[in-house]
Amino acid sequence: MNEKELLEVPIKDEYHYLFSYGGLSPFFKELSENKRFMGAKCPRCDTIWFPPRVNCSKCYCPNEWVRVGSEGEVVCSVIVPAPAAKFRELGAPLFAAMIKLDGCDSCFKAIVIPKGTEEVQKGARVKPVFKERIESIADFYFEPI
Amino acid sequence: MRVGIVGIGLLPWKVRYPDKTYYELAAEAVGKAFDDAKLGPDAVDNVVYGLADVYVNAIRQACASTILQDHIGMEGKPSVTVHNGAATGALAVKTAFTEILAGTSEITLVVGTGKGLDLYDPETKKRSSAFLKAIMLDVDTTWDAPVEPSPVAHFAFVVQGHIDKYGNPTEEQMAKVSVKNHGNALDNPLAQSGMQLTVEDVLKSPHIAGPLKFLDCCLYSEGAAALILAREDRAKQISDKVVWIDGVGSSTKRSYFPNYAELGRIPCQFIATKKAYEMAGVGNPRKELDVIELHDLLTGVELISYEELGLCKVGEGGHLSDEGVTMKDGEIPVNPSGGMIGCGHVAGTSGISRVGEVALQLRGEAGKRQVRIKNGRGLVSCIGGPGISQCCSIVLEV
Repeated sequence: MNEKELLEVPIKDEYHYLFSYGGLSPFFKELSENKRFMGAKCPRCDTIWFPPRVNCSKCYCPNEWVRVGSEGEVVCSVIVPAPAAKFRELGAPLFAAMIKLDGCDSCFKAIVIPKGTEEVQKGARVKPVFKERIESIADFYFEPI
Repeated sequence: MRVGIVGIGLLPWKVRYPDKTYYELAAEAVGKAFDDAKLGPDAVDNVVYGLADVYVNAIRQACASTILQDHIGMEGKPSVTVHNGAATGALAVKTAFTEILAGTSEITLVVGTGKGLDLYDPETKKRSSAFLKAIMLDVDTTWDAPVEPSPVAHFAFVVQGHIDKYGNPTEEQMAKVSVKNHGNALDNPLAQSGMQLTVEDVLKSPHIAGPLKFLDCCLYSEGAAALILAREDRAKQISDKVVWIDGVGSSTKRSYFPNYAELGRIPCQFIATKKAYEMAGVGNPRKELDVIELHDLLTGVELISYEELGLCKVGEGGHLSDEGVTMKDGEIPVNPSGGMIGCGHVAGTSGISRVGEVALQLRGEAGKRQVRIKNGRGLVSCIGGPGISQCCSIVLEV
C-alpha cells in the first residue's frame, strides 16, 4: 500500500481522575498545611520509611507517623539540560536527584534547582522550597543550602 | 524434559509502520514464525503475548490479546498476557517455557507487537514528545513520575551512581559502546539505526542527562516478533535445528529507589542471571557463552550489565569497552545485532526479538552479523521497568 492510499486520523482520548491518597493522606495534609515532612516508622524494626508507607514492607506491621528532617543530602544527581515541558517554569538546566532526608533510612526522587551556575553534586546539603498549595510531590523542589 | 525454539518470526524495526495496524504487525510476525517452523495455526496449543502497557503501546485498546487472538487465528485456545516494561518480551518467553514444562501445552506461540509512535503531540507536532510523556507513566506515579524531568534521567541514576562509586564508565567508554552497537547494526537488515560513528560523534551529540548524550540512548520503534516453543519430543519432530532453553531466571527489584544501598548496580539483573546460569550449569559465562544479546537502554547500562552477567568484576565494566572484549570479533560478542541502540526498541517485542536473534546466531543463520559459535551457547538478558527493576535472563543452546 502506498502512502497516498493510507487514511490517518487524529483522536484525542482524555481521562480525568479524582483519586485518594488513602493511608498516605496525613502525609500530604501535613505537607500542605504545615510544610513539614513525615516519615513512617516501623515499631518493630525501627526502619523509617520515606517515602512513607502505611505498613512496614519488612515486618508487615502498621507504621507510626514521625517527623523527619526538613533538610537532606543528595545521594545521586544528574543534570538535565532540557527538561520536559512541565518543568520549564523552574528554568534550565535543573538537576534530577535522589535525596535522603535527615533521619530517614531510604531515599526519594526530587528536583534540585541550583542558585547560580554551580553543579549539584553528590553529598550536597539541600532544603525544600514549597509552593503554597501542595497536592503532589511536584509542588516542592529543593535548593542547595 | 527440555523446551526448544522451533520457529522464529522477526520483523524489521522501524520508526513507523504507517501501513500496518497493531494487529496486522502481529499477524505478519506470526506468519513468519509459522513459515520458519513449517507449521500452521492448528499446531499451536496456546499463546503468550508480550505487550507493553496500553499507554506505551498506544493502541487505544485494553485487553488487546482477545482481539489479537482472533486476528492470528487462535480463537478458542488459551492465552495469557505478560507486561513488565522493557523486560516484557523475555518474560513472555519464560512464561511460555513454564507452560510447556507444566504440561498445559506442547506447542506455545509467543507474540509481541507495538505501535508506540501512533502517539502524537499536536502542540509540538512530534510523536516522540507524546511517547515520552506516556512512558513516564511506567514509573511510580505518586513518588516518581511527578518529578521526572526526562526518562533518560531516570535511568541515568544507575550510571551516575556507578561513576560515583567506581570511577567509571567514562564518557569515552560509553561512546565506544554506541560506536560498536550502531556499527553492528549496519550488518543487520532488520535494524533501524545502523551508522558508522566515531567516539567524537557520540561525545558531540546533544547532552540529554547526566553523562549521557543523544547517541548513548536507544530510540523507540514500532515492530513485532514471534517465536514458537515446543516440548522436547515435539520439537525434535518439527525441526532439525532446535535451539534449546537451558536456563531461565527473573527478578523484580528497583536499582535505587527507595533503597539506595546498591545504587550503581542492577540487582535484578544479577539475581535473574545467576538463577539462569544455575539452571543451565553455566560456571564461567565469559568462556562458556558464544554470544550475548542484552538490553542496552543506554550505553552506560550495557557496561554495568557486563558486571551483573559475570563477564568481569563489579566496578570494572567500563574497562571491557576499552579492551574490545565485547566487539563482534571479540572474546565474547555482545549485541552483534546492534542491540536496542542500533536496532530499535519496542517494550513488548524487544525481548522476544533478542531471543530470536540469539537463536539465529546459534543456528548459524545470522548472515553478515554471524559470530563464531564454539560452545553452542548464548545468553539473552532483558531489563526494564521503573528504575531498571525488571529482568529476565535466558540461556540458549543449540
